Amino acid sequence: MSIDAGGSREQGSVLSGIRACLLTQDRKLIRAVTRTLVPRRILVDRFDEFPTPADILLKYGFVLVDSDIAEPEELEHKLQTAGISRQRLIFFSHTTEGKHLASLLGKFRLANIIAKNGGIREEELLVTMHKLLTGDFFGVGQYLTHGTIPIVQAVRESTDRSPAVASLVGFLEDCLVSKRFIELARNSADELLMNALHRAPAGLRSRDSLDTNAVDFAYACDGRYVGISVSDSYGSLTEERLYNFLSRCFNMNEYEVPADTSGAGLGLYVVFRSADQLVVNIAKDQRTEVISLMDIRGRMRDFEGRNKSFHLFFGNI
Amino acid sequence: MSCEIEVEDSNGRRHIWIRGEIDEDFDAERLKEAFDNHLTFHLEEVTNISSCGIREWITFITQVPCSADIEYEKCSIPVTRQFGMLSNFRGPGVIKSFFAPYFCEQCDEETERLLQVVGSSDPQKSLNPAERVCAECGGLLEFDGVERVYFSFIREMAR
Repeated sequence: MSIDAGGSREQGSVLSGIRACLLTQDRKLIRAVTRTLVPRRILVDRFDEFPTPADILLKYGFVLVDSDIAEPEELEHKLQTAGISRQRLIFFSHTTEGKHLASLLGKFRLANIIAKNGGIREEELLVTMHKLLTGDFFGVGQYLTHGTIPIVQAVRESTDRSPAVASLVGFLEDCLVSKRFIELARNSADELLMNALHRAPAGLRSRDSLDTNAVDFAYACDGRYVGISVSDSYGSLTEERLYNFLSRCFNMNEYEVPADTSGAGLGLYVVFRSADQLVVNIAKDQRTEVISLMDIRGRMRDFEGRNKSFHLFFGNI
Repeated sequence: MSCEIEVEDSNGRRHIWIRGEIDEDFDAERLKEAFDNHLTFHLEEVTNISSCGIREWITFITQVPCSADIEYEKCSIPVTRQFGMLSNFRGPGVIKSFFAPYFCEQCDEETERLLQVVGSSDPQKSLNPAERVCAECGGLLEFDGVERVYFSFIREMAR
Protein backbone atom coordinates (compact mmCIF):
# COMPACT_ATOMS: atom_id res chain seq x y z
CA MET A 1 0.00 0.00 0.00
CA SER A 2 1.33 3.44 -0.84
CA ILE A 3 0.19 6.95 -0.29
CA ASP A 4 -0.58 9.24 -3.21
CA ALA A 5 0.41 12.76 -2.30
CA GLY A 6 -2.55 14.06 -4.31
CA GLY A 7 -5.15 16.18 -2.62
CA SER A 8 -7.06 19.00 -4.17
CA ARG A 9 -5.31 21.95 -5.69
CA GLU A 10 -6.09 25.57 -6.12
CA GLN A 11 -8.11 26.01 -9.27
CA GLY A 12 -8.54 29.75 -8.96
CA SER A 13 -5.34 30.98 -10.56
CA VAL A 14 -5.68 28.89 -13.70
CA LEU A 15 -9.29 29.91 -14.18
CA SER A 16 -8.79 33.60 -13.51
CA GLY A 17 -9.68 35.79 -16.50
CA ILE A 18 -11.49 33.05 -18.40
CA ARG A 19 -14.78 34.02 -20.05
CA ALA A 20 -17.78 31.80 -19.63
CA CYS A 21 -21.35 32.15 -20.78
CA LEU A 22 -24.31 30.65 -19.07
CA LEU A 23 -27.46 29.82 -21.01
CA THR A 24 -30.33 29.45 -18.61
CA GLN A 25 -33.49 30.97 -17.24
CA ASP A 26 -33.14 29.12 -13.96
CA ARG A 27 -32.52 31.74 -11.25
CA LYS A 28 -31.17 29.18 -8.83
CA LEU A 29 -28.64 27.99 -11.35
CA ILE A 30 -27.66 31.55 -12.26
CA ARG A 31 -27.01 32.30 -8.61
CA ALA A 32 -25.07 29.11 -7.98
CA VAL A 33 -22.87 29.44 -11.06
CA THR A 34 -22.25 33.13 -10.52
CA ARG A 35 -21.35 32.66 -6.89
CA THR A 36 -18.98 29.90 -7.85
CA LEU A 37 -17.23 31.53 -10.78
CA VAL A 38 -17.17 35.27 -10.20
CA PRO A 39 -15.13 35.09 -6.97
CA ARG A 40 -12.55 33.12 -9.00
CA ARG A 41 -12.40 36.05 -11.43
CA ILE A 42 -14.13 34.17 -14.18
CA LEU A 43 -16.22 36.51 -16.32
CA VAL A 44 -19.74 35.22 -16.68
CA ASP A 45 -22.16 36.44 -19.38
CA ARG A 46 -25.73 35.27 -19.10
CA PHE A 47 -28.23 34.54 -21.86
CA ASP A 48 -31.79 33.50 -21.25
CA GLU A 49 -31.95 31.92 -24.70
CA PHE A 50 -29.52 30.82 -27.40
CA PRO A 51 -27.95 34.00 -28.83
CA THR A 52 -28.20 34.90 -32.49
CA PRO A 53 -25.98 34.50 -34.35
CA ALA A 54 -24.94 31.34 -32.54
CA ASP A 55 -21.27 31.81 -33.32
CA ILE A 56 -21.14 34.45 -30.57
CA LEU A 57 -20.68 31.45 -28.32
CA LEU A 58 -17.41 30.55 -29.95
CA LYS A 59 -15.62 33.44 -28.25
CA TYR A 60 -16.17 31.96 -24.82
CA GLY A 61 -13.76 29.69 -23.03
CA PHE A 62 -16.69 27.75 -21.61
CA VAL A 63 -20.31 27.48 -22.63
CA LEU A 64 -22.55 26.36 -19.78
CA VAL A 65 -25.92 25.16 -21.06
CA ASP A 66 -28.95 24.38 -18.97
CA SER A 67 -30.92 21.53 -20.53
CA ASP A 68 -34.12 23.50 -19.80
CA ILE A 69 -33.11 26.44 -21.98
CA ALA A 70 -35.13 25.06 -24.88
CA GLU A 71 -37.44 22.22 -25.83
CA PRO A 72 -35.52 19.03 -26.64
CA GLU A 73 -35.73 19.28 -30.44
CA GLU A 74 -34.91 22.97 -30.43
CA LEU A 75 -32.02 22.41 -28.05
CA GLU A 76 -30.55 19.79 -30.35
CA HIS A 77 -30.90 22.11 -33.32
CA LYS A 78 -29.28 25.03 -31.47
CA LEU A 79 -26.37 22.96 -30.26
CA GLN A 80 -25.88 21.69 -33.77
CA THR A 81 -25.88 25.20 -35.19
CA ALA A 82 -23.58 26.63 -32.53
CA GLY A 83 -20.92 23.97 -33.18
CA ILE A 84 -19.42 24.29 -29.70
CA SER A 85 -16.55 21.93 -29.05
CA ARG A 86 -17.54 19.38 -26.46
CA GLN A 87 -14.39 20.18 -24.54
CA ARG A 88 -15.82 23.65 -23.86
CA LEU A 89 -19.41 22.64 -23.30
CA ILE A 90 -20.71 21.90 -19.82
CA PHE A 91 -24.27 20.75 -19.63
CA PHE A 92 -26.59 21.03 -16.63
CA SER A 93 -29.38 18.56 -16.38
CA HIS A 94 -32.16 18.04 -13.87
CA THR A 95 -33.86 15.04 -15.36
CA THR A 96 -33.45 11.60 -13.94
CA GLU A 97 -35.51 9.95 -16.62
CA GLY A 98 -32.80 10.53 -19.14
CA LYS A 99 -34.39 9.70 -22.51
CA HIS A 100 -33.65 13.14 -23.83
CA LEU A 101 -30.21 13.09 -22.31
CA ALA A 102 -29.49 9.71 -23.84
CA SER A 103 -30.42 11.12 -27.23
CA LEU A 104 -28.23 14.21 -26.75
CA LEU A 105 -25.37 12.04 -25.60
CA GLY A 106 -25.48 9.96 -28.72
CA LYS A 107 -25.74 12.93 -31.07
CA PHE A 108 -23.33 15.36 -29.47
CA ARG A 109 -21.08 13.08 -27.46
CA LEU A 110 -21.56 15.32 -24.45
CA ALA A 111 -18.56 14.97 -22.20
CA ASN A 112 -19.59 16.88 -19.10
CA ILE A 113 -23.07 16.63 -17.67
CA ILE A 114 -23.60 18.12 -14.22
CA ALA A 115 -26.67 17.17 -12.23
CA LYS A 116 -28.52 20.25 -11.13
CA ASN A 117 -31.42 18.88 -9.15
CA GLY A 118 -30.89 19.68 -5.51
CA GLY A 119 -28.44 22.43 -6.54
CA ILE A 120 -25.08 22.13 -8.25
CA ARG A 121 -21.94 21.44 -6.29
CA GLU A 122 -19.53 24.28 -6.84
CA GLU A 123 -16.47 22.06 -6.48
CA GLU A 124 -17.68 19.85 -9.30
CA LEU A 125 -17.97 22.75 -11.71
CA LEU A 126 -14.59 24.15 -10.72
CA VAL A 127 -12.71 20.88 -10.98
CA THR A 128 -14.31 20.19 -14.36
CA MET A 129 -13.27 23.56 -15.75
CA HIS A 130 -9.81 23.23 -14.28
CA LYS A 131 -9.30 19.81 -15.80
CA LEU A 132 -10.49 20.97 -19.20
CA LEU A 133 -8.15 23.94 -19.14
CA THR A 134 -5.04 22.22 -17.87
CA GLY A 135 -5.43 18.79 -19.43
CA ASP A 136 -4.40 17.36 -16.08
CA PHE A 137 -7.08 14.70 -15.90
CA PHE A 138 -5.89 11.82 -13.82
CA GLY A 139 -6.27 11.19 -10.11
CA VAL A 140 -9.10 11.22 -7.59
CA GLY A 141 -7.23 13.72 -5.42
CA GLN A 142 -8.37 16.76 -7.38
CA TYR A 143 -11.95 16.10 -6.36
CA LEU A 144 -11.20 16.12 -2.66
CA THR A 145 -10.44 18.85 -0.18
CA HIS A 146 -6.88 19.95 0.41
CA GLY A 147 -4.94 17.59 2.64
CA THR A 148 -6.94 14.49 1.79
CA ILE A 149 -4.53 11.70 1.03
CA PRO A 150 -5.77 8.91 -1.23
CA ILE A 151 -4.60 5.41 -0.41
CA VAL A 152 -3.23 3.64 -3.46
CA GLN A 153 -2.85 -0.09 -3.97
CA ALA A 154 -1.63 -2.08 -6.94
CA VAL A 155 -4.01 -4.85 -7.99
CA ARG A 156 -2.32 -7.35 -10.23
CA GLU A 157 -4.75 -10.24 -10.50
CA SER A 158 -8.26 -11.35 -9.60
CA THR A 159 -7.20 -12.82 -6.28
CA ASP A 160 -6.02 -9.35 -5.16
CA ARG A 161 -9.50 -7.98 -5.68
CA SER A 162 -11.16 -9.12 -2.46
CA PRO A 163 -8.35 -7.97 -0.12
CA ALA A 164 -8.27 -4.60 -1.90
CA VAL A 165 -12.01 -4.15 -1.51
CA ALA A 166 -11.81 -5.30 2.12
CA SER A 167 -9.19 -2.64 2.81
CA LEU A 168 -11.52 0.01 1.37
CA VAL A 169 -14.36 -1.22 3.58
CA GLY A 170 -12.12 -1.19 6.66
CA PHE A 171 -11.01 2.35 5.87
CA LEU A 172 -14.57 3.61 5.44
CA GLU A 173 -15.64 1.90 8.65
CA ASP A 174 -12.80 3.70 10.41
CA CYS A 175 -14.13 6.95 8.95
CA LEU A 176 -17.60 6.09 10.35
CA VAL A 177 -19.20 6.31 6.93
CA SER A 178 -22.72 4.89 7.11
CA LYS A 179 -23.20 1.23 6.31
CA ARG A 180 -25.37 1.90 3.28
CA PHE A 181 -22.74 4.10 1.67
CA ILE A 182 -20.04 1.59 2.50
CA GLU A 183 -22.06 -1.08 0.73
CA LEU A 184 -22.32 1.08 -2.38
CA ALA A 185 -18.61 1.88 -2.28
CA ARG A 186 -17.75 -1.77 -1.86
CA ASN A 187 -19.85 -2.77 -4.88
CA SER A 188 -18.42 0.01 -7.02
CA ALA A 189 -14.84 -0.89 -6.16
CA ASP A 190 -15.47 -4.54 -6.85
CA GLU A 191 -17.06 -3.84 -10.23
CA LEU A 192 -14.41 -1.34 -11.26
CA LEU A 193 -11.59 -3.68 -10.35
CA MET A 194 -13.19 -6.55 -12.18
CA ASN A 195 -13.72 -4.41 -15.27
CA ALA A 196 -10.15 -3.13 -15.18
CA LEU A 197 -8.67 -6.59 -14.77
CA HIS A 198 -10.82 -7.89 -17.60
CA ARG A 199 -9.82 -5.01 -19.84
CA ALA A 200 -6.32 -6.35 -19.74
CA PRO A 201 -5.32 -7.70 -23.15
CA ALA A 202 -5.89 -11.46 -23.12
CA GLY A 203 -2.19 -12.22 -23.35
CA LEU A 204 -1.47 -10.26 -20.18
CA ARG A 205 -4.02 -11.84 -17.89
CA SER A 206 -1.91 -14.65 -16.53
CA ARG A 207 -0.31 -14.38 -13.11
CA ASP A 208 3.24 -14.10 -14.37
CA SER A 209 2.84 -11.74 -17.26
CA LEU A 210 0.50 -9.07 -15.91
CA ASP A 211 2.33 -5.80 -15.52
CA THR A 212 2.90 -5.19 -11.83
CA ASN A 213 1.50 -1.69 -12.15
CA ALA A 214 -1.27 -2.66 -14.52
CA VAL A 215 -4.18 -1.69 -12.25
CA ASP A 216 -4.05 0.96 -9.56
CA PHE A 217 -6.79 1.14 -6.98
CA ALA A 218 -7.08 4.39 -5.02
CA TYR A 219 -9.63 5.56 -2.49
CA ALA A 220 -10.13 8.42 -0.11
CA CYS A 221 -12.73 10.17 1.98
CA ASP A 222 -12.72 13.85 2.87
CA GLY A 223 -15.91 13.93 4.91
CA ARG A 224 -17.87 15.19 1.89
CA TYR A 225 -17.07 12.55 -0.67
CA VAL A 226 -15.96 9.00 -0.84
CA GLY A 227 -13.81 8.79 -3.95
CA ILE A 228 -12.78 5.56 -5.60
CA SER A 229 -10.46 5.39 -8.57
CA VAL A 230 -9.44 2.39 -10.62
CA SER A 231 -6.98 2.95 -13.42
CA ASP A 232 -5.27 0.62 -15.81
CA SER A 233 -2.37 1.11 -18.14
CA TYR A 234 -4.10 -0.33 -21.20
CA GLY A 235 -6.26 2.63 -22.23
CA SER A 236 -8.46 0.24 -24.14
CA LEU A 237 -11.90 1.48 -23.11
CA THR A 238 -13.20 3.05 -26.30
CA GLU A 239 -15.37 6.10 -26.66
CA GLU A 240 -17.82 4.09 -28.71
CA ARG A 241 -18.29 1.50 -25.98
CA LEU A 242 -18.55 4.12 -23.31
CA TYR A 243 -21.29 6.09 -25.07
CA ASN A 244 -23.15 2.94 -25.82
CA PHE A 245 -23.20 2.10 -22.14
CA LEU A 246 -23.99 5.68 -21.09
CA SER A 247 -27.01 5.90 -23.33
CA ARG A 248 -28.36 2.87 -21.52
CA CYS A 249 -27.48 4.34 -18.11
CA PHE A 250 -29.26 7.60 -18.74
CA ASN A 251 -32.20 5.65 -20.06
CA MET A 252 -32.17 3.76 -16.81
CA ASN A 253 -35.87 3.19 -16.25
CA GLU A 254 -35.97 1.01 -19.29
CA TYR A 255 -32.86 -0.93 -18.50
CA GLU A 256 -33.18 -4.60 -19.12
CA VAL A 257 -30.34 -7.05 -19.02
CA PRO A 258 -30.31 -9.39 -22.00
CA ALA A 259 -30.06 -12.94 -20.69
CA ASP A 260 -27.05 -13.66 -22.86
CA THR A 261 -25.17 -10.45 -22.06
CA SER A 262 -21.48 -10.82 -21.45
CA GLY A 263 -20.02 -7.32 -21.68
CA ALA A 264 -18.73 -5.10 -18.90
CA GLY A 265 -21.54 -2.58 -19.43
CA LEU A 266 -23.64 -3.96 -16.62
CA GLY A 267 -20.79 -3.53 -14.13
CA LEU A 268 -20.35 0.09 -15.18
CA TYR A 269 -24.08 0.57 -14.88
CA VAL A 270 -23.94 -0.67 -11.27
CA VAL A 271 -21.10 1.81 -10.62
CA PHE A 272 -23.02 4.62 -12.28
CA ARG A 273 -26.05 3.94 -10.09
CA SER A 274 -23.84 3.94 -7.00
CA ALA A 275 -22.21 7.32 -7.68
CA ASP A 276 -23.09 10.99 -7.59
CA GLN A 277 -20.40 11.67 -10.15
CA LEU A 278 -18.87 9.20 -12.54
CA VAL A 279 -15.65 10.40 -14.12
CA VAL A 280 -13.85 8.61 -16.93
CA ASN A 281 -10.37 9.72 -17.98
CA ILE A 282 -8.95 8.17 -21.10
CA ALA A 283 -5.50 8.50 -22.58
CA LYS A 284 -5.89 6.25 -25.58
CA ASP A 285 -3.67 3.17 -25.54
CA GLN A 286 -1.98 4.50 -22.41
CA ARG A 287 -4.31 4.73 -19.46
CA THR A 288 -7.97 4.52 -18.47
CA GLU A 289 -9.21 5.74 -15.13
CA VAL A 290 -12.74 5.48 -13.80
CA ILE A 291 -13.57 7.52 -10.71
CA SER A 292 -16.70 7.14 -8.63
CA LEU A 293 -17.57 9.94 -6.23
CA MET A 294 -20.31 9.59 -3.65
CA ASP A 295 -21.53 12.59 -1.71
CA ILE A 296 -21.93 11.21 1.81
CA ARG A 297 -23.05 14.42 3.52
CA GLY A 298 -26.70 13.49 3.54
CA ARG A 299 -28.64 10.28 3.98
CA MET A 300 -29.21 7.51 1.50
CA ARG A 301 -32.59 9.05 0.76
CA ASP A 302 -30.88 12.27 -0.41
CA PHE A 303 -28.37 10.32 -2.43
CA GLU A 304 -31.03 8.29 -4.23
CA GLY A 305 -33.08 11.40 -4.95
CA ARG A 306 -30.22 13.15 -6.72
CA ASN A 307 -29.45 13.02 -10.38
CA LYS A 308 -26.10 11.66 -11.55
CA SER A 309 -23.27 13.65 -13.08
CA PHE A 310 -20.99 12.33 -15.73
CA HIS A 311 -17.60 13.56 -16.92
CA LEU A 312 -15.44 12.24 -19.67
CA PHE A 313 -11.95 13.55 -20.34
CA PHE A 314 -9.79 12.61 -23.28
CA GLY A 315 -6.15 13.41 -23.59
CA ASN A 316 -2.60 12.26 -23.24
CA ILE A 317 -0.61 11.58 -20.13
CA MET B 1 -17.94 -15.17 0.46
CA SER B 2 -19.92 -16.87 -2.28
CA CYS B 3 -23.42 -17.96 -1.57
CA GLU B 4 -24.90 -21.12 -0.14
CA ILE B 5 -28.03 -22.74 -1.47
CA GLU B 6 -30.28 -24.85 0.74
CA VAL B 7 -33.29 -26.77 -0.54
CA GLU B 8 -36.20 -28.17 1.45
CA ASP B 9 -39.69 -29.41 0.55
CA SER B 10 -42.65 -28.62 2.77
CA ASN B 11 -46.40 -28.02 2.41
CA GLY B 12 -46.38 -29.04 -1.23
CA ARG B 13 -43.78 -26.47 -2.20
CA ARG B 14 -40.07 -26.46 -2.70
CA HIS B 15 -38.24 -23.88 -0.62
CA ILE B 16 -34.80 -22.55 -1.54
CA TRP B 17 -32.72 -20.41 0.78
CA ILE B 18 -29.90 -18.41 -0.77
CA ARG B 19 -27.31 -17.04 1.63
CA GLY B 20 -24.33 -14.75 1.05
CA GLU B 21 -23.21 -12.97 -2.07
CA ILE B 22 -24.52 -13.72 -5.54
CA ASP B 23 -21.44 -13.15 -7.66
CA GLU B 24 -19.42 -14.74 -10.44
CA ASP B 25 -19.23 -17.99 -8.46
CA PHE B 26 -22.99 -18.28 -8.12
CA ASP B 27 -24.06 -21.84 -8.83
CA ALA B 28 -26.97 -21.34 -11.23
CA GLU B 29 -26.71 -25.01 -12.24
CA ARG B 30 -27.59 -26.04 -8.70
CA LEU B 31 -30.70 -23.85 -8.90
CA LYS B 32 -31.69 -25.40 -12.21
CA GLU B 33 -31.38 -28.86 -10.70
CA ALA B 34 -33.46 -27.83 -7.68
CA PHE B 35 -36.13 -26.11 -9.73
CA ASP B 36 -39.75 -26.99 -9.08
CA ASN B 37 -42.94 -25.51 -10.51
CA HIS B 38 -44.08 -24.54 -7.00
CA LEU B 39 -41.12 -22.76 -5.56
CA THR B 40 -40.45 -20.23 -2.81
CA PHE B 41 -37.15 -18.37 -2.63
CA HIS B 42 -36.11 -17.13 0.81
CA LEU B 43 -33.71 -14.26 0.23
CA GLU B 44 -33.25 -12.49 3.56
CA GLU B 45 -29.62 -13.54 3.80
CA VAL B 46 -28.49 -12.43 0.36
CA THR B 47 -25.89 -9.82 1.26
CA ASN B 48 -24.97 -8.51 -2.17
CA ILE B 49 -25.39 -9.12 -5.89
CA SER B 50 -22.58 -8.23 -8.28
CA SER B 51 -23.05 -7.60 -11.99
CA CYS B 52 -21.81 -11.13 -12.70
CA GLY B 53 -24.33 -12.40 -10.17
CA ILE B 54 -27.08 -10.41 -11.88
CA ARG B 55 -26.15 -11.99 -15.18
CA GLU B 56 -26.13 -15.49 -13.70
CA TRP B 57 -29.46 -14.92 -11.99
CA ILE B 58 -31.14 -13.47 -15.08
CA THR B 59 -29.84 -16.32 -17.22
CA PHE B 60 -31.51 -18.66 -14.76
CA ILE B 61 -34.77 -16.78 -14.20
CA THR B 62 -35.45 -16.06 -17.87
CA GLN B 63 -35.41 -19.80 -18.55
CA VAL B 64 -38.12 -20.42 -15.97
CA PRO B 65 -41.50 -21.16 -17.60
CA CYS B 66 -44.02 -18.31 -17.27
CA SER B 67 -46.55 -20.76 -15.83
CA ALA B 68 -44.29 -21.58 -12.84
CA ASP B 69 -45.61 -20.60 -9.41
CA ILE B 70 -42.65 -18.73 -7.92
CA GLU B 71 -42.67 -16.63 -4.78
CA TYR B 72 -39.99 -14.48 -3.20
CA GLU B 73 -40.06 -14.14 0.57
CA LYS B 74 -38.16 -11.74 2.81
CA CYS B 75 -36.04 -10.28 0.04
CA SER B 76 -33.04 -8.47 1.46
CA ILE B 77 -32.41 -4.83 0.51
CA PRO B 78 -29.77 -5.70 -2.16
CA VAL B 79 -32.24 -8.11 -3.78
CA THR B 80 -35.15 -5.68 -3.58
CA ARG B 81 -33.07 -2.94 -5.22
CA GLN B 82 -32.46 -5.23 -8.20
CA PHE B 83 -36.20 -5.85 -8.55
CA GLY B 84 -36.68 -2.10 -8.82
CA MET B 85 -33.71 -1.46 -11.07
CA LEU B 86 -33.78 -4.29 -13.60
CA SER B 87 -37.05 -5.09 -15.22
CA ASN B 88 -36.32 -8.74 -15.94
CA PHE B 89 -34.76 -9.65 -12.60
CA ARG B 90 -38.00 -10.97 -11.10
CA GLY B 91 -38.94 -13.24 -13.99
CA PRO B 92 -42.42 -14.71 -13.55
CA GLY B 93 -42.13 -14.66 -9.74
CA VAL B 94 -44.24 -12.77 -7.21
CA ILE B 95 -42.68 -10.85 -4.34
CA LYS B 96 -44.52 -11.56 -1.09
CA SER B 97 -42.35 -9.73 1.41
CA PHE B 98 -39.16 -7.68 1.43
CA PHE B 99 -36.93 -5.60 3.66
CA ALA B 100 -36.88 -1.83 3.34
CA PRO B 101 -34.35 0.73 4.64
CA TYR B 102 -35.34 3.02 7.51
CA PHE B 103 -33.53 5.69 9.43
CA CYS B 104 -33.88 7.18 12.90
CA GLU B 105 -33.00 10.87 12.73
CA GLN B 106 -32.72 11.11 16.50
CA CYS B 107 -30.28 8.23 16.94
CA ASP B 108 -28.60 8.76 13.54
CA GLU B 109 -29.01 5.02 13.00
CA GLU B 110 -29.91 2.95 9.99
CA THR B 111 -32.27 0.04 10.39
CA GLU B 112 -34.56 -2.07 8.25
CA ARG B 113 -38.10 -3.40 8.41
CA LEU B 114 -39.85 -6.34 6.79
CA LEU B 115 -42.79 -5.21 4.63
CA GLN B 116 -45.54 -7.35 3.14
CA VAL B 117 -46.85 -6.85 -0.37
CA VAL B 118 -50.61 -6.47 -0.22
CA GLY B 119 -51.98 -5.76 -3.67
CA SER B 120 -50.79 -2.44 -5.01
CA SER B 121 -51.29 -0.47 -1.81
CA ASP B 122 -48.44 1.20 0.07
CA PRO B 123 -46.45 -1.69 1.58
CA GLN B 124 -45.51 0.49 4.54
CA LYS B 125 -49.08 0.09 5.73
CA SER B 126 -48.23 -3.52 6.51
CA LEU B 127 -46.11 -2.35 9.44
CA ASN B 128 -47.82 -2.23 12.79
CA PRO B 129 -47.39 1.00 14.79
CA ALA B 130 -44.72 -0.51 17.03
CA GLU B 131 -42.60 -1.34 14.00
CA ARG B 132 -42.71 2.25 12.78
CA VAL B 133 -40.79 3.54 15.78
CA CYS B 134 -37.14 3.29 16.76
CA ALA B 135 -36.49 0.59 19.35
CA GLU B 136 -33.90 2.83 21.03
CA CYS B 137 -35.55 6.25 21.33
CA GLY B 138 -39.17 5.63 20.38
CA GLY B 139 -38.97 8.24 17.61
CA LEU B 140 -40.69 7.72 14.29
CA LEU B 141 -38.58 5.91 11.70
CA GLU B 142 -38.30 7.48 8.26
CA PHE B 143 -38.04 5.56 5.05
CA ASP B 144 -34.43 5.95 3.88
CA GLY B 145 -34.79 5.96 0.15
CA VAL B 146 -37.04 7.12 -2.64
CA GLU B 147 -40.34 5.26 -2.26
CA ARG B 148 -41.26 5.71 -5.92
CA VAL B 149 -38.07 3.94 -6.94
CA TYR B 150 -37.73 1.35 -4.19
CA PHE B 151 -41.36 0.18 -4.45
CA SER B 152 -41.51 0.38 -8.24
CA PHE B 153 -41.62 -3.42 -8.60
CA ILE B 154 -45.03 -3.39 -6.90
CA ARG B 155 -46.48 -1.33 -9.75
CA GLU B 156 -44.77 -3.67 -12.21
CA MET B 157 -46.30 -6.73 -10.56
CA ALA B 158 -49.75 -5.15 -10.62
CA ARG B 159 -49.60 -4.76 -14.43
